[in-house]
Amino acid sequence: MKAIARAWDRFFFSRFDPYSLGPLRISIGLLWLALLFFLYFNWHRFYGADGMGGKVDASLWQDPWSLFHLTDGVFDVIVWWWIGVAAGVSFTVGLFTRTMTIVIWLILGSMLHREILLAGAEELVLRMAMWWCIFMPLGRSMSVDEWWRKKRLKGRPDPRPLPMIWATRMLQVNVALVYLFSMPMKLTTDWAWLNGDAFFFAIINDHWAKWPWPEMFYQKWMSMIATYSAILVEFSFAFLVWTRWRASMVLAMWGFHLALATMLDNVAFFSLSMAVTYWAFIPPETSRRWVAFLLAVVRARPTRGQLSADDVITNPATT
Amino acid sequence: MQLAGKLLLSAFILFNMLVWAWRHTPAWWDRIYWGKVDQHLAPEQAAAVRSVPAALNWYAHKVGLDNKWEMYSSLYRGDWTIIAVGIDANGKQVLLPEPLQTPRTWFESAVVDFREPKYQIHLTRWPDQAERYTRYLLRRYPSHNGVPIRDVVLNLRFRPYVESTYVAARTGSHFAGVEWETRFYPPISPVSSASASGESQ
Repeated sequence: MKAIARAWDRFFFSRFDPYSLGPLRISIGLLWLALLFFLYFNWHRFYGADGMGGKVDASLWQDPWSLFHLTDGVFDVIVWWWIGVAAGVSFTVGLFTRTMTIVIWLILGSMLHREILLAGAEELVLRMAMWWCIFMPLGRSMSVDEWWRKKRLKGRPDPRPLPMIWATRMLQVNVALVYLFSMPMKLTTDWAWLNGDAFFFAIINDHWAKWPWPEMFYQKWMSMIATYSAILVEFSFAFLVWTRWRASMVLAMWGFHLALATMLDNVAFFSLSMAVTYWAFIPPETSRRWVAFLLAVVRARPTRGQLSADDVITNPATT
Repeated sequence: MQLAGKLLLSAFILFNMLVWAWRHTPAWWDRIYWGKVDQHLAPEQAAAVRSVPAALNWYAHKVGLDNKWEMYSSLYRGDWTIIAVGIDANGKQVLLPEPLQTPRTWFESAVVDFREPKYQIHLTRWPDQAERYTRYLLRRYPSHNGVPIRDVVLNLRFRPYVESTYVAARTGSHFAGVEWETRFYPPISPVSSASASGESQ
C-alpha cells in the first residue's frame, strides 16, 4: 500500500521543469487563432442569434451552457470572435496566461454548446486540453509573464518552487486514454478494422479523402498495411509514451497525424489539435534541444547582403 | 505541499478518472449494469443509483470531458450528401444556395466551408436535430425571385460502396451502383414557413 502511495505521489505530485509547457502553449495558441480565422467567414451563420444554432428558434431544445446565449440581444456575437482573437494572441505570447486560458476554454465551450451539430473534433480536443491547461503553469516558460517576473526580480533568484506536475499528468493521461479507449471501439464496431479494409473505406469517401489515387487502395495489401499501421501506432502510443521511447513515440505520432492530414480531407485541424497536445509529453531537456536546434537553424541562415561565419574566416582581408 | 492538499487533489484526480471510465463504458456493460440495478433494487433506490452517472455526465459536459472518443471506429459504406431544397409558393423546387450544393471558389471550398462536411455528418447521425437546420434555412431564405418559400426539405443522396477491397479490385470501381439514390431526409415532415416563423409554437 505504501509503495502504491509513493508511486502515486511521485507520478502526480513531483516537481518538474515546465520548459515544455512553453511550446505547448504557443502551439495551442497558434492553432486556436488559425481555427478562429477559418471560422470567421461563417461566425454569424453558425453562432449568430439568428444563425444555425441561434436562440431565436425557441421551439427546439438548446443547451443553455453558452455565453453566446447570455449575450444575445446585448451585443453581436462577432464580439466573442474578437475576444477570442485577443485572448488567443495574449495566450500565445504568455500575457495574463491563466486568465486567457479560462477565456479560451469558455469560448470553446460556448461554441460547442451553441450548436452541437457544428462541433468539430478539434474543438472537443482543445476544450479538453484547455480544461487541464487552466491548472497548468503555462506562463512559466517562454512567456511575457515570466519575462516580466524576471525583470521585477532584478537578477535575484525566483523564490517560487518548481510547479507540481499533476495537471500536466492529467492532460497526458487524457490524451493517452483517447487512443486507449478508441481502440476497442474500433475493433468491436467495424469489421473493416479487423480485416484491414478500414483505410480503403476512409480513402474512397468523398467527404474525407483527398488522396488523388484511391485506386491504389483497391489492393488489399495497401489497405492492410495502412490500417494495421494506424492500429499499431495508436495503440502502442498509449503505452510506450510512458517509457524511455517517449520522444520517439511523439515523433511517430506527429508523422502519423501529418500523413492523415495529407491523405484525408477535413481532418487537418483535428490532427493538429492532437499533435500539439503531445508537447506535454516531451521532457524539458529534449524540448530545449529541439528549440535550440530550431533557433540555430533560423540564426544560421545568412540574410541577403550579409556575410556568413564561413565567409569571415576565409576572407583574406580579415585574417 | 501539505498532505491535506494532496489528498484533496488526489480525490479530484480520481473523480476525473471515474468520469473518463464512465464516459467510455461499452453498451453491453451498461445493459448488464443497469439491468442488475433495476432487478435488485427498489425503484427509489435505483433512481438514487442512476443519479450518480447523471452527476458525472453533468460535470463532464460542463468542463469538456464528455466526448466519447471513437476516432473513425465506424466507417461509411457510401458517398452521401444532404441537399437542401426549398419549395416556393407555386410548388416549384429551388436549390438553396448553401455550401456543398452550389458552385464554390477554391477559397470557399478550402477555407470557408471546412466545417460543412462535419455538420452534414452530424445531421445524418442525429436526424431528429435536423429540423433546426430546416428552420434556419427558412429564416435565411424567406423568398426566391420574389416568391415566398413555403417549405424546406432535405434530401439524402447516397451511393453505396462495394463491400470490400476484393470486389473493388475485381470490378475496378469502389461503387456498388452507377446511380445516386435520393432519399427523403430526415424521416420527419417538411418544415413549413408557418411553423418556422413561430406560428405553431
